[in-house]
Amino acid sequence: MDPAVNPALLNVQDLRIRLNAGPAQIAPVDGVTLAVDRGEALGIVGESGSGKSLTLKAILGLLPAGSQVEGSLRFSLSPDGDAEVSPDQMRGRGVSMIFQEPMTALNPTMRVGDLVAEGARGTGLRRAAAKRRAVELLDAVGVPNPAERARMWPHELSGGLRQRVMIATALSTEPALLLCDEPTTALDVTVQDQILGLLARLRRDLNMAMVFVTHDLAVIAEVCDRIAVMYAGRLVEIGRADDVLAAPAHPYTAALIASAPSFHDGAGRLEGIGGQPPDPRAFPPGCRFAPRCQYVQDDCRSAPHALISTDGHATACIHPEALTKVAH
Amino acid sequence: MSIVGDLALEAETVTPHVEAASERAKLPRRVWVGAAIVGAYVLVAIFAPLLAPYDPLAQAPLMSLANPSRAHLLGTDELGRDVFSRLIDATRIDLSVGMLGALLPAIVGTVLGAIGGYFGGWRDSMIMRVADVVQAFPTYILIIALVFVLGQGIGSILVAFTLLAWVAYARLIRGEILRIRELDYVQAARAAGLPSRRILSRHVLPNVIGQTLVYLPSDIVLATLGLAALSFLGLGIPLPTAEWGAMIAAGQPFIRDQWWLSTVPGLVVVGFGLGLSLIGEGVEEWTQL
Repeated sequence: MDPAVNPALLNVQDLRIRLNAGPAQIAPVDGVTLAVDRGEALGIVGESGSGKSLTLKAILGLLPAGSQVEGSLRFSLSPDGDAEVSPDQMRGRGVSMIFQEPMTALNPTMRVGDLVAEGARGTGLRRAAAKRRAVELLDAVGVPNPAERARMWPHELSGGLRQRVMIATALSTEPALLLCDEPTTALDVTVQDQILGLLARLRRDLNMAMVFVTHDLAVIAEVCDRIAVMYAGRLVEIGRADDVLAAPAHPYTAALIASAPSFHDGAGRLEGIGGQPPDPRAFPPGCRFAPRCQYVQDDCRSAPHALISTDGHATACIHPEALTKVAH
Repeated sequence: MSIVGDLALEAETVTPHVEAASERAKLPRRVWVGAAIVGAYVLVAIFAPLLAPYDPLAQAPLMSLANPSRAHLLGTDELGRDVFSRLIDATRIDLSVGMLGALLPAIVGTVLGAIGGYFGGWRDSMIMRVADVVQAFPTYILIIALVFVLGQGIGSILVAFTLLAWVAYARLIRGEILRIRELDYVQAARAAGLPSRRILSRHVLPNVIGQTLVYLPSDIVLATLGLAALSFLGLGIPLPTAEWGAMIAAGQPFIRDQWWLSTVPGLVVVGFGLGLSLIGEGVEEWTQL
């Protein structure tokens, strides 16, 4: 597939976000390159502070004031690639976001139906049609008695229902790309499962692309086609979800998988990752995971951070063979 | 709608929050007491011409400084005007100046504070620097100076109040907006690509306006007192219109023998202030529940 002829829905090229932290300037996102195809679900994993949420915000064009963005972020609205637009033009037209906390992400002073209808009006519907559409959307995301619920206030709904309402709100603008910032973290496990199932179904039915940010590998395995692993502001590994989870090509990914209970065979202790993620004011040179990596070699400390790709599975590790040796 | 899936019937129903909400909706009793007092004043203001037994401006020099009697419930003033009728008539001007004198600054301050807080940057700096300058002056001296320059009258009093009192509202609203601006639901509204004006009016202001409503009643008291004070100093409503503060001032020379001439209008002002304070306190308590 020639990218010039058929560009991906979202193309992020060497994205770098600088923030002012006191006197110093930090770059919590430091050179991220990724693409999301139409209808594809990409999961971004990484621990807190790895820059995954900031990357999402950059895609939406909602970075906090005072942050500088370098690199390019382009959307291609049509597959022939002639309509490339920036995040600011995309908001409300092609991208929506689902937030982590359904408690705080719904305006408490608006009725649920009005919240959903508001986005629908942006697609050109009249008031009455938008209200009907809101009820349809609430129905589609599995809110029981949608017409009745549409007249309720957010605080009258349970966490799971609120998250469904937020999904309906996000869908109301008919997005081609849905960004999900840990959409299930605040929910209990049964509801979490229902919401994930709902998102997977919606993606199929609407042929919608998704970017899913989470630190929960089990969630990613369930929903996503591809996984991007971030560490200290950089992408360290990206590839098809099955490949990455089955045969991680970066020690950090391997360590993440070893520390996730859902991927553990049940026997013995969970492996932690020793040490702390690096301070963004003083990132180590070379591979940023080197100080915590158990396979570290001398040249790692001067390794470039470009990804080395084989068959669409790319890693930033220059010694991935160290991992496979241990595995066998 | 193309989405038709297996809707998992689940036990997600209405939570006990609903009961909490209806409990919350219960206003403290003092709000109702205050509302009754203020309501009575408003009724008096509306029906003033029907309630006043005499023309509040009609002078009767031969009847000047009469003691209270069945004919003149609160006696007459130095020009023989019926004090009771004047008190009732004054309700109209005092209430309208008091309410407008609080409402206009509240509107101006809320709008300016919202713009500054939401957009930040140069708009914010400009608005807040002007606010600093206004606040640096002693309030009453500035009001007196402004009314002096603009000329006596309701219009200039309202302009003076608005120019000064907006600052408190602007600061209040700005602070609240800075608090909620980064909250998820505001971000969500931005993510949905809504125009700024709509985000401000539907998603931001409704969530911060409560603070203004708490502050408003006490500001009406201040504005009413302000008008009374200006009239007392001779800069209020031009004579011979009846006004509480002016009546207090006019009764002063006779405080030894006809003490009610100043005292009763004073009590009337206090009563109005009390009613509004009760509302303000009650609403504040209610919003903090």
